[in-house]
Amino acid sequence: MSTIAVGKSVPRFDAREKVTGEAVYIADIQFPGTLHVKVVRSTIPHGIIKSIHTEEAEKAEGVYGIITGEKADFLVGICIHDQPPLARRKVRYVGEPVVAVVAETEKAAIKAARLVRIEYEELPHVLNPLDAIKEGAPLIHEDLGSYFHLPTFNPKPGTNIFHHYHVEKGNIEEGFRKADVIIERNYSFPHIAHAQIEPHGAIARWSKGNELHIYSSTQAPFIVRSVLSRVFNLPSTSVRVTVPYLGGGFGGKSDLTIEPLTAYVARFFPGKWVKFILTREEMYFGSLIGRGCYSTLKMGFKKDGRLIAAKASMHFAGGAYGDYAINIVTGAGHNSTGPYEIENVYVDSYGIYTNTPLVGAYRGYGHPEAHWQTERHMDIAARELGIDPVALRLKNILKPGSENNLGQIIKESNGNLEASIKIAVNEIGLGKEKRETEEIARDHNVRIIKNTSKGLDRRAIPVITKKEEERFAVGRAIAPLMKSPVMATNAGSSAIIKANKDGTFNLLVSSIDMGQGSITALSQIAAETLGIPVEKVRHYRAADTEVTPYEWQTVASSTTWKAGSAVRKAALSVLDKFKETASKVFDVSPSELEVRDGKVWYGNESIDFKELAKGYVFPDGHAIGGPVIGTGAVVPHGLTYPDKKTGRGELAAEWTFGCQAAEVLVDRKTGRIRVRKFVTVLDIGKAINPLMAKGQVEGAVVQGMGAALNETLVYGEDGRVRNASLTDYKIPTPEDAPEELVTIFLETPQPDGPFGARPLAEHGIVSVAPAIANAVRDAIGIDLYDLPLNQDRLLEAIYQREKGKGGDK
Amino acid sequence: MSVEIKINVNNRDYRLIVDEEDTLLYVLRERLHLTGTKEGCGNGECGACAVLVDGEPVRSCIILAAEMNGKNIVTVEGLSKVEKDGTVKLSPIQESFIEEGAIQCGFCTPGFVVASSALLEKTKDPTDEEIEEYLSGHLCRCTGYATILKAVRKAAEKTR
Amino acid sequence: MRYFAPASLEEAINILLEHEGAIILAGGTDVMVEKRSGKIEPSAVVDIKKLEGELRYMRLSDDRLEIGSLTTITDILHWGKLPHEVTSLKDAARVFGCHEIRNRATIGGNIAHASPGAEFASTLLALDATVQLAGKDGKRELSMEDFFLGPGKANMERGEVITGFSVPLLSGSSSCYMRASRVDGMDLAIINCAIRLQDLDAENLAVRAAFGAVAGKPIRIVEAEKLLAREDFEGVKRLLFDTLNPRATSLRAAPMSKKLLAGNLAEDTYKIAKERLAG
Ligand SMILES: Cc1cc2nc3c(=O)[nH]c(=O)nc-3n(C[C@H](O)[C@H](O)[C@H](O)COP(=O)(O)OP(=O)(O)OC[C@H]3O[C@@H](n4cnc5c(N)ncnc54)[C@H](O)[C@@H]3O)c2cc1C
Ligand code: FES
Ligand code: FES
Repeated sequence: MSTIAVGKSVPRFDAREKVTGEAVYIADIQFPGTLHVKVVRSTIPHGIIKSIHTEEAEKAEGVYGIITGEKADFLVGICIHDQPPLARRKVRYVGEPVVAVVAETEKAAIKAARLVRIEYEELPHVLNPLDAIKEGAPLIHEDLGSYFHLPTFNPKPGTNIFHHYHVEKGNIEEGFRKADVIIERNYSFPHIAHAQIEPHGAIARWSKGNELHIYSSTQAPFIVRSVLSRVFNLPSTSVRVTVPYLGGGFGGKSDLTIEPLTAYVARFFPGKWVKFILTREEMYFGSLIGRGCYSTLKMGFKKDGRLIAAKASMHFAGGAYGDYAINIVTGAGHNSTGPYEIENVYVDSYGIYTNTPLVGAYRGYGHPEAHWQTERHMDIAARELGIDPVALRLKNILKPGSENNLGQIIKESNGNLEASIKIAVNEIGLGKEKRETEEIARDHNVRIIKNTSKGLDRRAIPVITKKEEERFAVGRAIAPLMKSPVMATNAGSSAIIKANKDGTFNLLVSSIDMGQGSITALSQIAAETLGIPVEKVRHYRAADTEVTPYEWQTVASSTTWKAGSAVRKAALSVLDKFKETASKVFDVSPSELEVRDGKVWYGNESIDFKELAKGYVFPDGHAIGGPVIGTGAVVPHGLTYPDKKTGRGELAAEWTFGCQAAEVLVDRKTGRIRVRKFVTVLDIGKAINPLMAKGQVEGAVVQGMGAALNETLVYGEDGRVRNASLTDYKIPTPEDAPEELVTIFLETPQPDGPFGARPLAEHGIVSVAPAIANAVRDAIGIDLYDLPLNQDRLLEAIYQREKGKGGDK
Repeated sequence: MSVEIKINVNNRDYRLIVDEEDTLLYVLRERLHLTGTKEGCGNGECGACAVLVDGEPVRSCIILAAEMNGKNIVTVEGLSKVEKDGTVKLSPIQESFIEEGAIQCGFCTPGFVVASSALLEKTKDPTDEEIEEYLSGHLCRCTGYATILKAVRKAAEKTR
Repeated sequence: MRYFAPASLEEAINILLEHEGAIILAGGTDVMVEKRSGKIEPSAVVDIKKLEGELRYMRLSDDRLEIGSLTTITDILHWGKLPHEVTSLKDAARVFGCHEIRNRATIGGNIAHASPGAEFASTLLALDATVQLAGKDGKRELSMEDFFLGPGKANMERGEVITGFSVPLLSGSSSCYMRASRVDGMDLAIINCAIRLQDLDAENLAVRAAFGAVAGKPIRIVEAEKLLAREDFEGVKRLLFDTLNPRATSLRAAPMSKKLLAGNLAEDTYKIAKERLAG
């Protein structure tokens, strides 16, 4: 198919603003007379607030007021309403906002905040979810039973379990009875931070007429609007949410974060803009964090390698409030046993309150946790079975016609996992013979797009100076992946396209471009549908609930696929209106008309879009039609609620399949793992913009490498995050980018995606950790089950092994 | 207490009374409204706040404005040139960042662009070791860095 | 907080003495971070950068290298005349922070801050350097051993300023500095090691080995030096594993890792220094 906009690597439209410093982010918005908020946070993990002393702070210079949670008579939440905007009566984690100081300047707020004193009566606390479900564990929410929750969630009042999701397929006991080899292991994925370089912020103003306008760095303006209008008892029209440029989201700015607090505080200062920007430190406990999963996986195989039974139990440390983690529990449950067809499955996924910061969406949404256990497990199983790990996987993968754990049947159009695996294996050099990747793609009849990027030349770094054979070991391995989005069954998207009289178009959607490139990709989809060059489409830069049309939220990698479908429909509706008018001009039926090159054609006569945009004017002056606006809307196809008993149903709207592979260099002396080469193969249906698609994958891979090798929130015994800085919480640096970063896209079109596209933005992170850990196993023969694979873990494991061998070191 | 400073920012002279505690970053953003320079951490850890002081890249979040008396400062806003007819000409670094997809959310971009500009001032043919020297310590959470490295290499070619 | 920018050393010392709670501001890369976090709340900062004419220098005499306290890390990294005997200074400068930090950070600030893992602390200790101080009662000079007292604690009186360092250049000597870190890019050291070797005669080497971030201050370990001189690397590893007792609260590595890394790092550092000795 020849295209004019889609499939082209056009540079992103917002790049010029961003490279010149013009792009406006939340902290850059400066309204005259703005008041600034500084929050005083709980210093204990669990306890009763005995008293709050604000007298001194109130007297401090520049202070406008000190706000506590006392007057907040509502609980925030979407799926389960369990959180006050500022602590009330109780605190549940170190870092929980207790008091907000509002002052003329940020400096004054900081100084005054230091004068606030809070007295607590400490309660016993619990940080680990496995401890939190033990008999006698401290109860974090006594009122769990009285919280409102949506019917699909399953809290257990009287315990710390805020959600339990269960999936059952076949008969698990029989499965294990029939198995020849049974393997069971425990795995863990710690809490990590999104570490977006832009800290969260919000600026709110209550007008004196009781309307709220809030600017926020959110991925979810309509969720924010809906919750704020609920808790303040206002019609949707009285709450306006505007989102400027977003400096990175990765899920951490989805749902709600600091908006309820900012809006609640601002309410006490009507007519004033009230600004709350988190510090870097607060980013580790004052917003959302990610992951935190402790799991046990048991699998039963036949001797020939057939996987016939899998039992997974996953325990998520959701933090002190559960609303944002609740769907991750379900999402991980959906695909907890990876991209395999298994006859007998039994999954328990628990969301558990812990006295830690709140967990929310983080790129991958339950899938990195699920693949960490499953893809490590498959490698371990292959060795025990004496089967090649690639062969074992190929034997069990989901193929067209397979039934997944949820009871859905995989179709050819869902993507080609087998080809993905074979290509990844070839690229990383694990194949029997090295072949051309294009050749493998031809065997499987798929189109591919390949790119190789280069990191820094490692010779430039004088760290490794010796080539000692026994010191360095190279290992290679793969880890396949699949991901489906978790979304409300009515997670809608909509789009508006306005035609201008010069043949250009304005596109309005409420998807947030937080770096993933939706502004550009959606413009490309609109242009392609309209049949015009992409430069003629102008995507509105902000999302604004009062201006731009409804979007559920920008999560689940769903924008190109779902919002893109809405954009395509909107463009088609523009064309319909053009044709409608043109049909009257030509006096024929619209179906006899064609659209091409910015014109509507009847045979070889044509009318330019320009002449139709505002309505057509006949030579005698009389006009028909009128200004053209197209709209489009979609909801995911046929999603249902899960069956109460089996947890099954039409729960995934689509899947993206793929495979990742790593080549690592392990330094036995320092315990350092360096990723030399990393390969990601994803069947994305259609690369709307290959340059940006590649950028998503490369970014996800390096982010995943950080979690695999280094990242973990370190808690003190008191639950304080001890490494709340970019110095102590180390994310990958330019020097850490792999020498070779290979990205390969397969294009098996997705029938309901615009031009065949399907989601891709999270997927590059899903199997990074197991691919690396499997490669480490290949290199030095050590199996690791807990992330991150940092020096402490490696050195300790190497030491224990040497000791076991009888040497004293 | 306050102190008076004279600074030149992006080729314009300013005389300002600043609080002795104010950082250079604060003064650029809140007083001169040059919000292109970003605060990612305020602790010297991320590089989003990089600016050139007398031609050398430094981190404006950990410098007092008071220390800047008499200095020449260039921020990201000062890297592109406004032609006589009012059009804006981007620097080769800025162009290559756009072309190579080295920008995603863009929050780290001003810092990277400022640091890369300093590099290309120093050498037209940077080795990987020199690229590392200048970009090290700049954090980007979106791109995975490969596109940024490519953009810098390409800009060097353009300048040669 | 007040800001002062004295034009002479004497004036600086006077301001420091006059203002209770005043501290020196050099590159500010430690001061500004600690001030923001509330770890320090200085009543005044005394910016000594106007003294650059006096305190920013690197000079060679016959057998010594003199480094002024306001010398930046970038100055050290790019100084074309750095004698090969003290290449460890360049090793330390190369891994230090990042370009933009190195452009501001000074060697004086690095030492005065007395952080146990500071790059130049172990380096100067292994090189047997002395630190020169000026105060209201005049000047004094201390060995590095005598200067470091504990984490963040140095042998400095109120009102004293570090003016410079003097590093001996021993004939037939070489040096190397290395560190272990978590990532390849900007990071602080998990532990570090600096070694100076000197050829005594055909058979014998004199070794000075200093370690950072293994104790409350950078330390020399004389036993390890002896074992290194014999190239008994297994012995060094065993010794360091058995005797080091790093604090358990480090955010960069567990004590066990530090104990395991120390010997390996010492071996690597020694071997490079040895190669350098050979030319
Ligand atoms: C992002 C980042 C990365 C860093 N990386 C490293 C690293 O890799 N290795 C490392 O060792 N350090 C590192 N540091 C710490 C810091 O940069 C160094 O310690 C630096 O050398 C301090 O020098 P300065 O001139 O900035 O000191 P300042 O911050 O100005 O001063 C530090 C302390 O020394 C005192 N002081 C300064 N000069 C004198 C003097 N002449 N006489 C007496 N007292 C004085 C000050 O009062 C203060 O107490 C890093 C810091 C940051 C922010
Ligand atoms: S904001 Fe200055 S380095 Fe991060
Ligand atoms: S582009 Fe988002 S942090 Fe670099």
